[in-house]
Amino acid sequence: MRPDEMLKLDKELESHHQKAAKSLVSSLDSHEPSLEWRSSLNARLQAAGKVKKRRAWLAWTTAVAAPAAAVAAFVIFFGASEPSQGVVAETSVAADTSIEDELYTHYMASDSRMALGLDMPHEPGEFDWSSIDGL
Amino acid sequence: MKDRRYGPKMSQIAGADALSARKRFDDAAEKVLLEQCRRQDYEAFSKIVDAYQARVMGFVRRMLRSEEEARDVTQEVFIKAFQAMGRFDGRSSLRTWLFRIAHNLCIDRARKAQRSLTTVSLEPTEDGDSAFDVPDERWSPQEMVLTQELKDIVEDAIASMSTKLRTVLILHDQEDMGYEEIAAAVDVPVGTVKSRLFLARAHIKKHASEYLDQQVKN
Repeated sequence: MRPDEMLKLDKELESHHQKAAKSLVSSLDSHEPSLEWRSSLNARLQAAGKVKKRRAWLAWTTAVAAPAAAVAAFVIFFGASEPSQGVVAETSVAADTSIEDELYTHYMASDSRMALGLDMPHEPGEFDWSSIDGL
Repeated sequence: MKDRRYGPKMSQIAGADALSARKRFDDAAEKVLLEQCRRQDYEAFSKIVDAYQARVMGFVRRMLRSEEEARDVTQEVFIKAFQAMGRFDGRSSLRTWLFRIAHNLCIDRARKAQRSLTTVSLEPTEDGDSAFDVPDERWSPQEMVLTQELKDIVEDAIASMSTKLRTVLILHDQEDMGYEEIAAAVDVPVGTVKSRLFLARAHIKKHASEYLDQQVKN
């Protein structure tokens, strides 16, 4: 709207007819609400307040509980699996040293005895019946 | 419109005058109240409801056609305000904000009901509504006897104009809001507010003049 149009409109709004219409509108009855209406509003406001508090509580609990649960799950999962891995490792290490070394030692000893002619090598397919007798 | 009773009025109940009084808070008092309301202080918000319930209901009642709907929407205005108080930044006044919520809710209701609210065309004409500029001796606020019948005529005239015109007319002439305040509430330029107000008043004048003419003939 141009400034001159605005000025013209301002003048029109201050005219006698426009003021008369204004006075008619301003003299209309007001709409006072009833006590029943207000009681109903109070009930709705309190319900809305409770819902908001519940939502805030839920949001707060989620914000706190979710990271806590994640941390707990991490600790349980990784904290529990690490010691068991350690035990397995120790066992395997112990097994490596005892059984393999023993077999290797036994093999080397029997090989040396055969090399020195103290033991005769077993023929493949020949069954050692003495092993049964010894049982 | 003919019957505007909502059960027993607050003003008819002893000790309820303070509740129904149209209070205006000064800026400092309003800031304190708003701060309390942001902390979901129910008592503080009740004071705001006390001060604005009649104004908001008056506006909503004239914007919607059903009394039942008007009561429901007015409650919704305050519930929305209570819930959104934390987001109210205070750039506009509390009154402007409340009427903005009320205006938006009324528009939503009208859209949902798919009503054709524009019943009269009041676009500015080339001759500038010169018909309303004709001097009329009866058309004087001092001379006019505001009978209930004339009030009903005015109410009907308000109901028959478009929502856009009605909003501006009620906010300015009933609620004494300034042009800038209305522009902020309705989200239109100040010039638009003025032109809508002019057209709305012209519509009132037209209806009232018809009534007055009939009175003279009778």
